[in-house]
Amino acid sequence: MPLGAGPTDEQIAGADGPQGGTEPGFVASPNSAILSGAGSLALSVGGALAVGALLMVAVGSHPVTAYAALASGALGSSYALTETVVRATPLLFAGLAVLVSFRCGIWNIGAEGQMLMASLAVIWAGPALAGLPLWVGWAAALALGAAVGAGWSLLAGALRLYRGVPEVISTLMLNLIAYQLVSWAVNGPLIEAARSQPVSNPLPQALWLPSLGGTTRLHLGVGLPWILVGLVAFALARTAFGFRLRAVGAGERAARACGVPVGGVVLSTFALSGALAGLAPVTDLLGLYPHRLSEGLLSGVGYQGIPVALLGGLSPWGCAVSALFFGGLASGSDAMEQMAGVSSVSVKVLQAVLVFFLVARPGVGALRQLAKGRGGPSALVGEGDE
Amino acid sequence: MLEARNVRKTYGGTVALDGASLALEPGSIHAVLGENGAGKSTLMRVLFGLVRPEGGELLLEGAAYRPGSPADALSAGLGMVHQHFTLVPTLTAAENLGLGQGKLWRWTSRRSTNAHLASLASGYGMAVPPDAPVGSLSVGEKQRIEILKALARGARYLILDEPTGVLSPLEVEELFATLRRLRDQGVAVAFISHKLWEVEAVADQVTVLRRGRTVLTGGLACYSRQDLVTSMVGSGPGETRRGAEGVTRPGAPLLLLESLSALGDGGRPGILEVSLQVARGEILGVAGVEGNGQRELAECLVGLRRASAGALRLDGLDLSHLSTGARRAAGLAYIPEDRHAEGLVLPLSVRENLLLSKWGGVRKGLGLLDVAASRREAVEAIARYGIRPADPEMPVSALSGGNQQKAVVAREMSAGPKAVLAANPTRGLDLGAAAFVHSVLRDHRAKGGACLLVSSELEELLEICDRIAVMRQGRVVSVVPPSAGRETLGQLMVGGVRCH
Repeated sequence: MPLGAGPTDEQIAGADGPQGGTEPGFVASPNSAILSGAGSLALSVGGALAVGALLMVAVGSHPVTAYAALASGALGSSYALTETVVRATPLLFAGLAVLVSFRCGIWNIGAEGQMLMASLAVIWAGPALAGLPLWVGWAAALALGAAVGAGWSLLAGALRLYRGVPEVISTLMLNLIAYQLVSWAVNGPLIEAARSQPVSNPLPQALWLPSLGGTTRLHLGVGLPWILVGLVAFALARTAFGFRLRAVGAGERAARACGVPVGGVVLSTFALSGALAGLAPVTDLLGLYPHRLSEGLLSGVGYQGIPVALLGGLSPWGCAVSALFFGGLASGSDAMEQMAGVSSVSVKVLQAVLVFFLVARPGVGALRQLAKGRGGPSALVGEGDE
Repeated sequence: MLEARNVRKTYGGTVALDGASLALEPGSIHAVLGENGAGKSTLMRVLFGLVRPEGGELLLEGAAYRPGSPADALSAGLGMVHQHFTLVPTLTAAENLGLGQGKLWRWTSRRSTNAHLASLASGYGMAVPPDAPVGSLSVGEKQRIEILKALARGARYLILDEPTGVLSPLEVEELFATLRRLRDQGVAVAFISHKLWEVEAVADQVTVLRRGRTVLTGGLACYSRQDLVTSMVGSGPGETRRGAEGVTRPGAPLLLLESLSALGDGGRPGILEVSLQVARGEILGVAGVEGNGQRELAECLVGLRRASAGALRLDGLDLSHLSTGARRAAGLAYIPEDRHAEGLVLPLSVRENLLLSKWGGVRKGLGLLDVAASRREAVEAIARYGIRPADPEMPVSALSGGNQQKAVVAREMSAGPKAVLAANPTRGLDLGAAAFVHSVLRDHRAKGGACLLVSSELEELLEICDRIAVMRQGRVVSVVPPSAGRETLGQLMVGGVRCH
């Protein structure tokens, strides 16, 4: 060796080693990262509201009145608050479903289809489940929804694993298939007895979840996603599976080289994500009037899981907060339509603009990460919560 | 003349540069030496407008020079060849060159771009196939295209960031010839290195950075090798302990490769009927020009690539059909070549990375992680392997290259492996960190373990291996003792014994 000499091992073990400077771009103090994260989230929400206000002005409405109506519809009364929680319930399931898949580097945008298939299965099996004892019937309905959601998701997982089909394409296509299946079912074999509308019969009354309060729509099921938030957070941080899931999401090649069975982890995550999505419509079908399946049952809740998860920074607790935020937007938009005469469609526009702001906010660089072919969806929000 | 005077740059609380000065003169090759983290790359990035300095000044031909972006630097006559190439793999060399020309919407014919490339290439004496997609070319050819790209834009100051790190010995020689030609045509060349022999082989001037500061600069002839080493590492390094433990007696075979074959990427033959034995207490080196099956061999051993024929045994156990996880559980450790992609999950913490390959060992019932135990183990490993900063919850991405590699080594060795497979384990590391990795491998040998060291650095193999296998075109063509020497190995690697 031309350099006939090197420091002895003792010197190296003792010395600090060579970190006089760190690689550029790798240095960030955790505190400033969190602060700027919160700041940029606030900026994103504020920016979306501002763009929304401009749109309202453009169509001749008064943004202050509209936003006041929105706020009072979301938070202005105890009924409004319960309605926000009710509307947040399926969004939270959807957000969690998106979160676990994104954390594993899987772009599952098929929550909508997984939900549709789950609701189809439960409506179909409803009469049979009604004969079971109360709690068993509920549990069976939820389990069926989760299983069917997982199965629909696993189709995309298997396609990715064994045929290399990108899940962005397969889940999107499976959404369309699921939508058409539901459409066919409620126009044909599962159409209501009266045959007047393309909706199914309601679930047997024996399966309905009890209401939690008089005139509100609160039902026993709204607590379920909140329990799952805790479970998902615990699983990601403290279980071997959650650890592997995060490792595969953040560095698939390294995980594979370290002996993590990447294929198994990916398939399991597809299943988990689909199961979480499948619970959403089942909870609503069991808990909310009219307990019927129709083509418009979800109206995009599955897709909204994506902004819910992103705004929540791909952390389960963040997801809970952002589900409430989007739930509030949903319940407030009805009030806005009635009180300020602004179409609730504008809230949809608002949500879409918000997603742009979230993805484009500084420091995210999601597209750049994608272009480099690494750092899957997690790159959208940085590094999650651990 | 391009000058940097007392440049300062900090990242967060970390000082990357403070008092860094450099002067590049036309018609001269200027080596920038320093250990990892000394600030070499940062200084080059400052010159190229990628990093904005906080203090100091830059002067270009006497006038103030403040590049706000690489575009400014390009128009000022600077060119930079990055460590990781910036070429479009599906386009040809000529098309890649055209991309750099700023003619976004203008029609260019294939013939004229090819002619442009040919005239440029012959003018500087660099042969490049004009019509093949760049992705199919060798690393050396890609690098030449990068250099041509910079020159095509009229670069008079050419900066190369660790250009030799990815090259085979032969390609390094070609690169040096190119650099000399450029110098003779009046180009100012700056190249970053931490290998002294390269600097001695090609540079006219040298600047040494240590901890962000210029500690030595001037004509190479003015300094002895000892001066350079001392200024790089701070104090005179001690003697290596070579020979002191070189008398270990290898025992029974522990790792056995029996006619192992595997396909390479895209169905090309990767390795062909490789048979090797690594004994207890032995370090077997695998030498070869990059791309002759070494990577496929490593992947095949660790289970990341399926063997098409043959068998692999570790301590009598047939590993051939086991998963990567099972092979590791059987006592095989793997220090991969690319620590960023294969060695570490960068966003995860040091603790979690240490856990990655052996999470089964710190698992409680019901699939729960024993976080407290993993933290204890991490603290212990951090202390034992001297990982800095000593914070188990620090993301490994925030560690320097040397410390990242220590984390990989700590994880692999703390599992108590029987055999260690190390692929270019010291690539990109400075002297101190490289010596540390070597000492770990030697310790493993001293304890009766087997080690297979795949390396493209002959010096490394000659220094620590007991035997060296040479690979060429996927086959092991010979196994020789290190005493065979550099010359013989080099000839075996390129094939065809040279006539004397």
